Amino acid sequence: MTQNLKPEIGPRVPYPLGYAEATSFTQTMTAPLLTGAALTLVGVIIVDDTKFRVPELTLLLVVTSSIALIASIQIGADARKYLYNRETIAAWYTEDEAKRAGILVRRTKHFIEWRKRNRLAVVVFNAGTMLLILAVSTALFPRDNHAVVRWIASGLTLASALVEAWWLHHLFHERFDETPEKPKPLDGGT
Amino acid sequence: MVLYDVTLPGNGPGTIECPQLQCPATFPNARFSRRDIDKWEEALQVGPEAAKAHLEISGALTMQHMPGCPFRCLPPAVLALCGNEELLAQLKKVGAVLDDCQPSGDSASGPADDA
Ligand SMILES: [Zn+2]
Repeated sequence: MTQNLKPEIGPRVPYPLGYAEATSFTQTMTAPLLTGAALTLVGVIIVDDTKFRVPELTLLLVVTSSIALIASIQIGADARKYLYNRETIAAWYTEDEAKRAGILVRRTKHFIEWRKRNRLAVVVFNAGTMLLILAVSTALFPRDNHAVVRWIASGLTLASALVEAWWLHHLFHERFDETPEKPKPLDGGT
Repeated sequence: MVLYDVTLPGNGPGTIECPQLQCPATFPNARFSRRDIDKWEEALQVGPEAAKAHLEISGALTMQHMPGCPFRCLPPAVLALCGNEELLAQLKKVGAVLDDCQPSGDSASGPADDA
């Protein structure tokens, strides 16, 4: 039996440390840009849907994509208010006040809340980008079956959707430590 | 890297770290809820076998904890959602059920973030 170490709890921080900044970037910069592009496509289809092979499907995909992207901006902003570091605390409280008010305990709870809410924003954002790629792919379907180049363009977009889906799957199962070949026993495997 | 560049802007769900300061173990931030913690506590009440089975299903045993890490006997949902005090309480609960998981004789040090 392995002698257990004394519990020594470290501060809760984003992992890797730049993760919070990366998700914040997608929610505040990328999502609005993609929403703008999606809404432009909505406008084009509404004005003249005769140019599209399946305008109803494209419209459905692009509208759901816009909704998801806007939701990711909002959920991300809602989550972001729970994420702050010691610098922020020091700006508002003296060390003594922070201690007496239990601010660090609250910060831990808030961090856990941020991680939960931010995950939802990430999932919604990813859904929005996937839907947008699919919308572009259906918008490229040629009306004329012999338009080979258009079919190739559409196929490439569809292929990129598959790559994106694979990549997202990879991100959702990403481990930063080496996965052991078999589960470790409870004694720590030593 | 090329693949990464062309497939951006997909985003990962984040990672949870083992709360033990020196332990490098991580786990993907799945959709954890308080219900997962309730299920874990139910398993603890049933007994050691049920607790071990729950740990295996939860993926806890795939985490690469350092040898003797006190948090290796807790499922990822507990590590993800519990505040520091609750974590220490969870260690006591699991130590009472699983012999290998009893906390060390020394009293726990004040959590670095709750001092
Ligand atoms: Zn650990």
